[in-house]
Amino acid sequence: MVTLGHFLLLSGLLMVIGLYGVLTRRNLIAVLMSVEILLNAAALAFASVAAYRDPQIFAGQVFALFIIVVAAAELSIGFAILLNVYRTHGAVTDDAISEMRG
Amino acid sequence: MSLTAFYVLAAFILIFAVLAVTTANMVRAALSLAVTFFLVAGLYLLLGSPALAAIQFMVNASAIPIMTLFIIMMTQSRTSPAPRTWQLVAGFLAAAAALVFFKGAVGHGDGQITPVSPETLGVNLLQAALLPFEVASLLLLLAMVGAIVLARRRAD
Amino acid sequence: MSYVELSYWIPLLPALGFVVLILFGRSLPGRSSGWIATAVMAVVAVLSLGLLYDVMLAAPGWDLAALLGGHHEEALAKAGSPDFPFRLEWNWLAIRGEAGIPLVIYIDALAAVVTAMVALASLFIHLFSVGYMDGEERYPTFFAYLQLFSAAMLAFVLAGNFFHSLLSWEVMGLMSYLLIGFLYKKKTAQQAQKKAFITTKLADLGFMLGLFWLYLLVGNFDLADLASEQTLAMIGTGAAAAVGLLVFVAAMGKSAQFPLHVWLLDAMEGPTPVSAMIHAATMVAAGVYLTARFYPLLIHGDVLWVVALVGAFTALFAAILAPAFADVKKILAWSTVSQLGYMFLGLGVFGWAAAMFHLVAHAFFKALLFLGSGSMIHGAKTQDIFEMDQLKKYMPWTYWTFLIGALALMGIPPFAGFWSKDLILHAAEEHAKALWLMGLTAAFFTAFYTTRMIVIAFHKPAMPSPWKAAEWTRGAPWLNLGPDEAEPDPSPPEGHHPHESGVEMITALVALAALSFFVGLWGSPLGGYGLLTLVYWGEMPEILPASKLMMGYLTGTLVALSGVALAWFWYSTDPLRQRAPVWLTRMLQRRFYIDEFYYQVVGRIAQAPTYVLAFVDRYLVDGLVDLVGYSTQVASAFLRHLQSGRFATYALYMLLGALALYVGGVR
Repeated sequence: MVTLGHFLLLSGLLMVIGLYGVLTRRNLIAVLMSVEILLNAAALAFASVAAYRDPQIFAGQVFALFIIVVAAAELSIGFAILLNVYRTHGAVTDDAISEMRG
Repeated sequence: MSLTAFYVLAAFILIFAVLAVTTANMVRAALSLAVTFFLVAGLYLLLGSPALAAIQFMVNASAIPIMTLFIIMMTQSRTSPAPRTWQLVAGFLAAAAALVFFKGAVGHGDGQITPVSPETLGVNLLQAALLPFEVASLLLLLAMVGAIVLARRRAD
Repeated sequence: MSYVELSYWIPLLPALGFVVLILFGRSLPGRSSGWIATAVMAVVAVLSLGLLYDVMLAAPGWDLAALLGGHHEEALAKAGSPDFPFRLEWNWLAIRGEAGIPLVIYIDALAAVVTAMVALASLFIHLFSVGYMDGEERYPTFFAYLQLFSAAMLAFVLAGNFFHSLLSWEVMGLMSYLLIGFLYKKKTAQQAQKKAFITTKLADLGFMLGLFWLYLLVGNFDLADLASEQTLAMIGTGAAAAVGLLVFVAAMGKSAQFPLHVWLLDAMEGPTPVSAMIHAATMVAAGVYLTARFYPLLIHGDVLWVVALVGAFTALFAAILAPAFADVKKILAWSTVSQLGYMFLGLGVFGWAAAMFHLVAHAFFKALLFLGSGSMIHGAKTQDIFEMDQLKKYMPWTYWTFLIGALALMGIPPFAGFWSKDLILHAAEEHAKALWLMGLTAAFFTAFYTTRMIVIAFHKPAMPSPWKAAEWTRGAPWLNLGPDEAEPDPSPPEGHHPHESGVEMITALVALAALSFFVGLWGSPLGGYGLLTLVYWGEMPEILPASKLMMGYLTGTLVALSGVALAWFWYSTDPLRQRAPVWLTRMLQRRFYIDEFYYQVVGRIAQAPTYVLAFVDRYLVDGLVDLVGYSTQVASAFLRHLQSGRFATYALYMLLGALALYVGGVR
């Protein structure tokens, strides 16, 4: 019997992995990928809570849809920025954009 | 049956997710990410929501990895540099803290999955969430325009 | 569509003209911006004349014989139309449906008459400026300013709500500032604009305080409401006196009454059409009009005697000063101050309608005189009457039109000023003999200095001006000019012969001369007192002098003619001879030292607190600011190490922040 707890724990673990990725990755594309994992974890949590607890409206699943939309928008903009970073700095690592440090 | 399916899916999801955030090879990481998302789509099927699964498959498991691969090629990012030591420490500490944070997820044994048909979800989307739906469409439009403007080659 | 419904276009059109000219004026070729502004004013003039016609049809009629006989109760011959006075109302500043400050256009006979006067005078001033300002550097800007000036005055006249009166009043103050300083490269013009602005602004404080007090008492700003019995009963005599006097202070400032007259003479630094605008159509008329609007309150508070006293004194005072000046514009400026004094005298002695008649008549003949002086300056290239070379010979059109204006100013029958001034004097005679005597003396001096000006400028050949340098250096010590900046106005170049002005300018002069003459007739007994019975509103005491008209006419004419005769006798024989004692001349030229008094005493007193404030500013306020800057520097020296530039550290901070929020939220 799969319970809500199973899904939430999996979502939490995905969240931990994404967080680790955001903090450790040095290639900015990889960072954005980690952010994608984070967003997916959140969407999974929403969808599972909706499936177990909200049998009429499924608001959480609607929310998961919106998370996917926002993720797609965020990623496209992020990639466009990275393309510019690549053009101006020749690389997309965190070293390339750390010029402004104090 | 479904418990077995869940555990198999969950195991592969975690393995590929870890691969996606640790592999130095960027292409491999992107492909791992695609697999992760594909498997999450399977989880949505388990949750009784074929609509969500389909969208997850189309957007997160297909479109986004393709876009990622393109950007990896365009920026010639073969590998991601190895993390610095402090980054590793911070990452592990944060992961540990988050684990503590998420321990409350265990439990919640009661309740039944209610399957939802794509039709119901669509109706809910366009009735209860019509305004967010429109706003989201505007957001996508803006993102598209913004991405084009940002990525365009300057005249000079 | 009646003209009443169109009346909101009257202030709106020139305001739009201002917007257009200020935005696009510079890209318009040649003189087209001037012609556009003139066309706008022509439309406004047509609208306001239509409005006047509508009002004449709707206004109640009064039986002249009964009014003259003093039977005011039985004088109503024809009831006015039920919707008269007209009111157009838009709700404005309303908060959640509550009545805010409604935007009201209130059109009674007075408003219609003055609107027509302002529109016509302004139209011809625009027309004149098209030629006069030709070649000026900021030609379109000048017309833009003129447009907004007219718009503000028209809005002021039509306002049915004192709050909007105040708004347009302030816009007028601003425009007078900008226009007086239009030739902004002249140091004297800068000083003059500041002086005008500060003086009138100081007086405006009275308007604001009076209005706010009134609002506290009555709860609205409505103009028509002020005349009603209940409102007056609500206010009480003492408060009415206080509010009325406060508002009267503002009117004194705007209309340059003693002791707030000091700005008007320096305002001559503006281009001559501006002087005409300020002196005839807009600025100074506003003060009289405002006093006329607060009339019920002034009667209720029983403070009309203050108005009468200030008016009579100013009329005499300015008329005595005028003969000591050689600058044609300054002489005319003093005459304006003096004539405005007559209007206030008229208001003060219950000659309300007579004062309004004088307001309208004066507006036309003073616009004519100023534009005529502009034409003289344009042709003779000097402002000094002594340096003007037989202008009668060279500038016949200017001469004859100027003469019509001057005759009106002097009060020679049958020109406009005669009829209106005589009515005021008559009302004064009925009221208090002393005031009447002051008025008569002022009339004598008026005739004297006007004749002096005409004889020297138009009839005599050019001669070295005896007072030029003296007037300049003695007259303006408060200007704070350095030695090289205190240059007298330029003399005409050697061998220069005056020439007649262009066709636009002559047209404006002729039109104004005709207007001033016919307006005078309209209000005279020959015209059946048409203007006076039109503006009469039935609750005014002693509107028209009843008897002894011929006596008054005779006295007035004799006094004026004796002034003319004396001036003619003195100045046609030997214009340069010094006839008054030197000390007297000097005192007059220094304007009774009033300006210097303000500069030396009032200015110093006002400066004293600034030393304390300067200390506070330097050591307390600045010290505080420095402290903030210093502490920010110190703090940032540490904090900048947080800005590593590596996004991973930022992500970590974000995470820590989120955790902190969570922990705080759980607790």
